[in-house]
Amino acid sequence: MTSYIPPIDKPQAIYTLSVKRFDPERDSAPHWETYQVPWVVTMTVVEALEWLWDQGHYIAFRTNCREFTCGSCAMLINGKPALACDTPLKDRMRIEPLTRYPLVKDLVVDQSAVPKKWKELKLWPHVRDGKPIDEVSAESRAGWHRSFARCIECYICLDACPVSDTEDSEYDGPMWMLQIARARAHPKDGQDRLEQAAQRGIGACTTCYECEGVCPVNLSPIKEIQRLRSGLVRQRLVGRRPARPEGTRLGQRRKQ
Amino acid sequence: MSWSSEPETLRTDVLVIGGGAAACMAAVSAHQEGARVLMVDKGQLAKSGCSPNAHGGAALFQKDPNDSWRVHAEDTLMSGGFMNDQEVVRVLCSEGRKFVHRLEEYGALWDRDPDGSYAVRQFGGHRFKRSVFSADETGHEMMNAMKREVFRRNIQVLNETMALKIVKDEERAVGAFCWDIGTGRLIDIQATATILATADAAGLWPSASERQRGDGFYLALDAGAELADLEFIQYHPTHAWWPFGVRGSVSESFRIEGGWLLNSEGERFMERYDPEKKELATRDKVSVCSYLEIREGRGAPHGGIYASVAHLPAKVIKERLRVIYRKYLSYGYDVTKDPIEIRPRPHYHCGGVRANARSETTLPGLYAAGAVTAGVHGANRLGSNSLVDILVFGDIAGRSAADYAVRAPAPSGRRQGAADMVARVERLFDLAEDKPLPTAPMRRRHVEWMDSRLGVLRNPEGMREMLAEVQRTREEELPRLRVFDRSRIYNFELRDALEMFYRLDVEDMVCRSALMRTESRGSHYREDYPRRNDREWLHNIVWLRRSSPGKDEFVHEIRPVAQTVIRLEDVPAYAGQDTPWH
Ligand code: FES
Repeated sequence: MTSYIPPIDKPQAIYTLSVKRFDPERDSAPHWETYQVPWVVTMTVVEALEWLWDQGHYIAFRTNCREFTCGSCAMLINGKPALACDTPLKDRMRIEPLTRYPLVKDLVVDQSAVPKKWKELKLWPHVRDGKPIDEVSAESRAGWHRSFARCIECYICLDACPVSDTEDSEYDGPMWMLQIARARAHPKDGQDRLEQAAQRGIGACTTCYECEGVCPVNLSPIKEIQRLRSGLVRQRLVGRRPARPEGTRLGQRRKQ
Repeated sequence: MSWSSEPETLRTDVLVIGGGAAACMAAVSAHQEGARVLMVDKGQLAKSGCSPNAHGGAALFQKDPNDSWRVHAEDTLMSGGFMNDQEVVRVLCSEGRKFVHRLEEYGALWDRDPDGSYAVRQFGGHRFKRSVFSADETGHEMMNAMKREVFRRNIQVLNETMALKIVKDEERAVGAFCWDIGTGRLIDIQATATILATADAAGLWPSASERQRGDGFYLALDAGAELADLEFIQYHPTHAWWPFGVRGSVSESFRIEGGWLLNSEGERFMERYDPEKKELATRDKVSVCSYLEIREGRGAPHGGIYASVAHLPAKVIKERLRVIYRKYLSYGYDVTKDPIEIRPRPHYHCGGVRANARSETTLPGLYAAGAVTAGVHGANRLGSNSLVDILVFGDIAGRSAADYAVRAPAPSGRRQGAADMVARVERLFDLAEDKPLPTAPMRRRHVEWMDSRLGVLRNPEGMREMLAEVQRTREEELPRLRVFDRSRIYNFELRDALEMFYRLDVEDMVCRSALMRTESRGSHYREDYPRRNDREWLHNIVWLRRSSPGKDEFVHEIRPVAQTVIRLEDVPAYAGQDTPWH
C-alpha cells in the first residue's frame, strides 16, 4: 500500500531556507542559519520545518492544527507576518520570530501577555440575566462571522501594526480593537465598549492600513476600527451616551 | 541538563488535564461549584485541542416535535454498532439542550432561521435535524466562548505543560506530575480530584494534525483506570490529500453537494459498491471502498483517489464550497475544472478511558470527559455528537469532581514516582549510549505503519506485523532512544520522545484488540471477517492494569454490553442485518 508520507524523498528541487535561531542557554544573540530542504509542489513552511525536525534540527516553533484554525504558527516569513502552515515554501525564504512579543527561543515568543489582556479588557458578555437571547435576525447573524468571530488569534495583525509595537504601547492594536468590536456586538455585552476602545488608544491608530490584507482568515480590523471610531464621534457629538450602549443588538449596529 | 529532583509543588482542589472545550467546560463547572481549579494544557489554551477544528454542528437540540432523546439515542447506538455505554448515551442525548443557552451567555452565537429560532442541520446518520451550528465554525465559536468564561473566572491555566504521570495515594488519584515545556521545570500538582480531558489517540495514525497522541489513555490506564474499545478508529473519507499544502478535511459538504469520487480510470466507483446511495453511503463504507480501489491499483498518482465537482455549475461550487474552492485556487488548482486528490484519513478515535454517566472512572478521584473517553460513541461516532459529548460530560465531570473534592480528604503529600520520571529524562539526555536513536524517524514509521496495517482495511497478517513491530521497538529501540536537542526550555524533541513511551503501549493494545475482534463492526473492518456478528461480539474489549506480586501487566477482559436502555431487538431495522455499517 502506498505510503501516507508525500513523496518528499523525490523532491522536485532543493531549496535554501534561512532561519533566525536563538537558544538563550547558549547564544548571546540570534543568528541566521541556512538549511537545504527538498521541495515538492505546494509544500508549506510548516512542512519544511517538520522535515528539518525529522533530520534532527529541532528548531523550536509552535504548530498544532496545520489547517489555519489555531493561529499557533505565525512567524515572519520574508519579513512579513504570516501563518507557516498557510504559506507555500519558496526558495531562499527567510524565517524569523514575531517581533511584538519577547523572543524566547528560535521561533517561539512569550505570549503570556495575551491572557492578561483578555482579563484586563473583560472581553466577555456581562449581562447574566439567565434569559435566552431573543431573536437575532439571520441577516445580522451572518455579519458576526464576516466581521470578527472568525478571528483565530494568530497575532499577525498586531505584529503588522507600526503603532502598537509592544505590550506597553498606548494603543492595544488591531486584534484587540476587533475583539472589542466583537464583544460590543454580542447581545449580552452590556458594557460601554466605545469608551473602552478610546481608553485603549484607538485614537492613536493612523489608519496606515498595514493590518489590512495580512489576516489569514480575511478579516478587516481596520474596518472595525473605523466603525468604533465613528461610533465614538457620534457619541461625543451628541454629548451623551446612548441610553443603551449602541449595538447591543446586532441588527441595530448593521443599520447604522 | 538535568531536572532537579525536588519538583515545585502546587496545590488545588481540582486539576484539569487538557485545554480544549471539554477541559474548559470541566474547569468552569468545577469552579462554579466553588472548587479551586487548575488547568494544565500541553499546548496553549484553546489552541491545542481539536475542538476549534470541528466545522459541523452540535446535536444539542431536538427541535422537531417527533424527535426525542430516545430517537437520538437509537441513532447514536446504530452508528456505534451497539458498542456504546447506554447509560452514558441516555445522558448525552437528553442533557444537551441547556448548553445552547449557556454558551450564548459565555459569548457564542448560534445561527438562526429567518423566524429567529435556532437553525438546525441534519447530519449523516441522524433521522432528524438536531444540530445547532455557527456558520461552518461551530467548534471554533464554542471554544472561543468557553475560553472567555475561563478568563472571566480567572481560572489558573498552565500553558505548554505536559502531564507525565497521574499520582496515586493508596487507591485514589491525587494529582499529577507535570513538565513545564517552556521552562523545563518539573511540577508536582497535588489535587484532591483530577479530571482527564485530553484528546483521543487518532494521532497514532496519520490524522490531520497528529497531535492527539493518546497520552491520556496511557496516563489513566497506568494509574489504574480502564480503557475500552481501542480497536475503533474512524476514518473520514474525504480528506484533501494532494496538493499537500491544502491538507485537512475537505468538508462533508463536498459529498452532500454531490461531488463524485473517481478512480484512475475515471469510473465513479461508488456506483459499483453501493448503487443506491453512491457517494453518500456512510463514512466507513466510502473509506473502505476508496481503499479497495487504491489497493487494486486504481488510485491517483500520490496515493489517494480522485474527487470531482467539475460536473456541478461553477456558481454552486463558488458559493457552497467557497473554502475548498479558494484554498485550491491559491495553489493553482481550479476545482470547477479539475478533479482533486483526496484520501480517507483518521479522524476520531472512538475508544478510550471508561467513564460512567457521572464521568467517574474506576479509579476514585479520577474523572474523564470528552474525546479521551470511550462509551459515548461506541464503534463509530455519529457526526456532530462529539461537540455534545464535550459539553455534557465536561460539565458533569466538573461538577462530580468538585463534589468529590469537598468530601474527600486532601492528599497526604506522600508522592511516589517523581524519581522515575526524573530518571527517565536523565537517561534520554545521556548520549553515552553507543548507538543512540532519534525520535522523529521512529514516530514517523509507527504512524505510517498504523495507517497501512491497522487502518481502514484490516487483515490478520498486517495486524500481527504491526504488533511484532511494536514489541521490537519497545525492546530494541526504546532503551536507545535519546534526545539530541540539549536545551532545557522549549525542548519539543523531549516532548516527542516522552510521548513515544506512552504511544507504544497504546498501539500494543490497539493491535491486540483488533486481532481479538473477529468480526467487522462500525469503524473496525476486517477482510477475513467482513460481517457483523452480534451473537458473539456484542461485547466490549476492556483493558486494565493488574498487579500481583512479581507481576505488573496490562490485561484485557471481554465484557458483554449492558443493554439497559435500548435492546438490539428494539431496533429491528438494524438487528436484522449483519453488515458492519448502518
Ligand atoms: S498550525 Fe494552526 S494555524 Fe498554523
